Amino acid sequence: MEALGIDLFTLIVQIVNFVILLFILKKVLYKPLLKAISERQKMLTSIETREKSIGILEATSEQKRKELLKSAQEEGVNLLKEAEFKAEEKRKAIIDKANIEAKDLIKKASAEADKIEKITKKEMEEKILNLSSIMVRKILSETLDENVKQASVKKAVEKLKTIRV
Amino acid sequence: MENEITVVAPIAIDDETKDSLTAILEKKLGSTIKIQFKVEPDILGGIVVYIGSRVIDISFEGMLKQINNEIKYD
Repeated sequence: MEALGIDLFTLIVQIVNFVILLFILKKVLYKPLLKAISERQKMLTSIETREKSIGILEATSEQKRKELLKSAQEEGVNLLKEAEFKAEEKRKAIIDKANIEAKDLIKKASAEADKIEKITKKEMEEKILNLSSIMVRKILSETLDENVKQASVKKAVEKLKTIRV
Repeated sequence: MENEITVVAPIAIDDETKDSLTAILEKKLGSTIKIQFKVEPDILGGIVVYIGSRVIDISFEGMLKQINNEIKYD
């Protein structure tokens, strides 16, 4: 060994030093490092678990969102159909009401027209009658001479005989 | 009781007709009467006799009115 330049004492001291260093490293560095690695590992596992949970939650949430969306769409379609049905019913009701009112108005207008026609006819008849009377009076007053008037008086006197007084 | 009698004619009535008229009315009323004669050309022909509140219309105007009413209320 000496021929190789290795001092046995130095070697032993080096080995002891190494062992001491190894012991110190084990106590001071290795354990905390392992502990830190273990904690990190646990933390990673926890994060992975949480990520998985989040993934599941997200998937569930997405499923629920899709279901809700589908449900909302169906509800929307149903509401639209219902609204269309109600609107159609209301439209029909309004048209029916308008038709009834129109018929009523036509009936009233017809009755009013008949009334006006009767009144006008009556007025016309009265006017014609009055005009005819005026014309007859005028013609008689201009054509009856004294003799005719005297004769009419005599005839009236004769007629008086037959009248009860 | 003496009736108040008025006779209306379109012209002045001659005496003969007046006497005849007086005789007829006296016979009908059964008493002596005095008639007041009036001329109203508007009655056109015939006579109108007023005996108190009663009216006997035998005039052309009366006939026209009667015809008018008959047509009007027919």
